[in-house]
Amino acid sequence: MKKFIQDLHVSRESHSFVDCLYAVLSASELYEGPKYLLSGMTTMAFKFTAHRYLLPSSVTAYGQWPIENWLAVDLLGIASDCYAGHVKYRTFPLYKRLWIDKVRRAIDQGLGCIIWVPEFGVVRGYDDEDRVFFVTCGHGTSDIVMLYDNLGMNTVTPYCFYQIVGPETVEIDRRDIYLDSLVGAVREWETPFKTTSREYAHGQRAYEYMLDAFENREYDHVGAAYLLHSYAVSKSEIQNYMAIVSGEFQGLHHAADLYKHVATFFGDISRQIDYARRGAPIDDVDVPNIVKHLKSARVAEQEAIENIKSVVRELMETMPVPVILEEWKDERN
Amino acid sequence: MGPQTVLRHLRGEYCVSNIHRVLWFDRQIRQNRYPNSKTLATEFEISVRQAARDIEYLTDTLGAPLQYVAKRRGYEYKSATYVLPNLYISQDVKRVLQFLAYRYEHYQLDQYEHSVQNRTIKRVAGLFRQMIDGSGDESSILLFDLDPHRIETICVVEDCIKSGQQMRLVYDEVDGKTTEHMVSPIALFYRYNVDYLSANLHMEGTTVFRIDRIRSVIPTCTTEVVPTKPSTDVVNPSSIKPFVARIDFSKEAKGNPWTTYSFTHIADNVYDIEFFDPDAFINQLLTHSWARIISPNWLKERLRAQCEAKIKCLE
Repeated sequence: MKKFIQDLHVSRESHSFVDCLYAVLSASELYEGPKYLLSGMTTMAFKFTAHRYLLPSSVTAYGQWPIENWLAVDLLGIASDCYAGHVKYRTFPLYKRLWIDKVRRAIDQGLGCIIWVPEFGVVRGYDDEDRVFFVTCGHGTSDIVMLYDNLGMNTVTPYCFYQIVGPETVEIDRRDIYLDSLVGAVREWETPFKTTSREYAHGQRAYEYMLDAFENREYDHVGAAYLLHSYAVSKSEIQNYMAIVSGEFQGLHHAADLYKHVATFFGDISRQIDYARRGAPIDDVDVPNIVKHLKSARVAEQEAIENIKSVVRELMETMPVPVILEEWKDERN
Repeated sequence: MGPQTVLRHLRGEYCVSNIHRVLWFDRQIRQNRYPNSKTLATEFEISVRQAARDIEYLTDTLGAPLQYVAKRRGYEYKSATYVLPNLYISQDVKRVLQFLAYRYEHYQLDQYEHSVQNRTIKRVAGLFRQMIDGSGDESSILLFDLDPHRIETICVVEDCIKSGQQMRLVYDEVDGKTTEHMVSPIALFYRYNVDYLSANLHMEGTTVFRIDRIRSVIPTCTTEVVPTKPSTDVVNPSSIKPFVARIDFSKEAKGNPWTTYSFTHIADNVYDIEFFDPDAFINQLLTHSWARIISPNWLKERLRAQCEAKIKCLE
C-alpha cells in the first residue's frame, strides 16, 4: 500500500516546529489562520534560547520536547501523541516499531507526523512495498526518503522525536488560548535554563549569552547568523500576535508597541547581516551594531513582559482561571 | 629515508637528542626564522650531513610539508596547519608494548605449533620487541587476558563468518546445562570485557552467545543460506540502515565502478547494492552503466523525474 498527503506542504519561514505544525494542522483542517497567530498561541514564538557560543542548535534547544511540543499543541485544545528518546535507549527499537504503524495509520487519516530530522520535519507519505516514508522539511523540491527501519533516526544527532497531532480536539475560547499564551510568554522569559545543560540559556538570560558571545567575539559564525535570522522572524511573529491579542485585552497596547520595537531591532540586525544567510561569517564591523540593537531589544522586551505580567495578573483576578493557570497563580501569590 | 632509518626510529635509536633537534627546527620554522641544515648543525654542534639527515627525517618520516625558500636560504612549511606527530613512546605505552612482546613470544597454541596463526603471533611479538628497548618496570602494566581457548574460538568463528560456513557449537548455559546448536555466525562483538557472537539459529532467529561459554566450535561443510549480513539490530540497534537497490547490470557488471558500494550477488547479473545518500546514488546511476533497476520504486521515480526535467531543458 502507498499513501501520500498531497495537500501537506511545509514552508520554512518560522521556527521549524511551527512550520511543521502549521503544515500538519492546515492539511488536516484543524487550524485556519495565519502562521504568526499559531506561533503566538502555542508560545513557540516566545521561546528564545542561545548557546554560550551561539551554536545553530540554540534555536531548537528550548527544553524537553515531549513537554514543550506537547504543551504547545495542548494549548490549542488539540490532542497529540508524542514520543521522544535517544536512539541508545534500550526500548527504542520497540517504540520505533510501534511508531511505524502509528505513523502509517495517521497518514491514512490525513495526519502528518512531526519528526526530528533534524530540525523538525513532517512525514507525509509511505510506501509499504519499498518500506519507506516520505518526509518534507520545506527544503528543496523532493522529499527525504526514510526507511521504515530508520524512522526518526539521523546521522547528526542521537535524538528521536515523533508527534502525531489530532484529530481529536476540544473547543476552547480563543481568549483563553491568548491568556494561556501570555502566561507562557512570561514563563519563557523568566526561566533562565530549560535544559539540564547550562550551556543553553533561555529567555532573559539568553540575551546575556548572546551579548557575551558577541562582545567577546566567541561565537559560531553559522550558528550566530542562523540564530539572529530565526529570532528576527519570531519577534516579528510576536509583534503581529500582540497586535491581535492587545485588541482582546485592555492594557496590552504598551506591550504590543514595545514588541514592535523589539521586532524592529531584530529586523535591522537580520537585514544588516543578510549576507550571512549563505554561510558567510558575520563581519566584525557589524558586531558593535548587533550588540547595540540586542541591548535595546532586551530593555524593550523586559518592559513588554512587565506589562504583560501586570495585565495577566489583573485578568486572573477578575475572570475564572483555566486549570493550566492555577499553578502559575499560586506561584505569584 | 629508507626502512633502516624507520627501524632505527622504532627501536628508539632516533631518541631524545634527535627529537630535540627536530623540535627546535620546527619551532624555528614557526617563528619564521627560516632554518637550514647549517644553522641546525651550528646550534647542536653536529655535522651538516647529520643535520641534513634530520631534515630528511622530518619530511620523509614525519610527513612535514617542508619547502626551501631560496630568497631566505631556509625552510618554511607549505601548510601552516601541519603539526608534528608524537615523536616518542611514553614510558607507560612502552611498558604495555613490552608486556605484549613478552606475552606474544611465550604464547603458543599447542595443536597449531607450526600453524599460520603461530607464525603471525611470532611476527607480532617481534614487532613489539622492535618498538621497545627491553628495559622497564612491569609493576603497573595492564594485563590482557589472552586465554588460548578464547583466541582459538574467535579465530575459528571469524573464519566461518568470512566463508559463510555454518558451525556446530557446544555451549555452557547459565543454568549449568550444556547445549548443542547448529548456527550460522553473523558477527563478533565485544562489550563490558566480554566477547560475544551473534548467530542465526536454524528456525529460531538470531541469538547471542558469550564466547567464554562456548565449549567447542566445529565448522561444518554447509555454507550459509539464510541471512549473510550482520543484523544491525543485534549488533547495534541504534545504527542507521542503508537503502538497498536491486539492479540488473546485464553484461556491464564486470570491472565496473560500483565496487565502492557494498553489494550482494543475487542471481546472474543482479545485485543488491547498499547506499545511504540517495542523491549521490542517483548521480552514480546517471553516470555509470546498468541495465535495469528492479527496486525500489521510489528510486525509479526519482531518477525518472530527474531525467524528465533534463529532457525538458533540451526541448
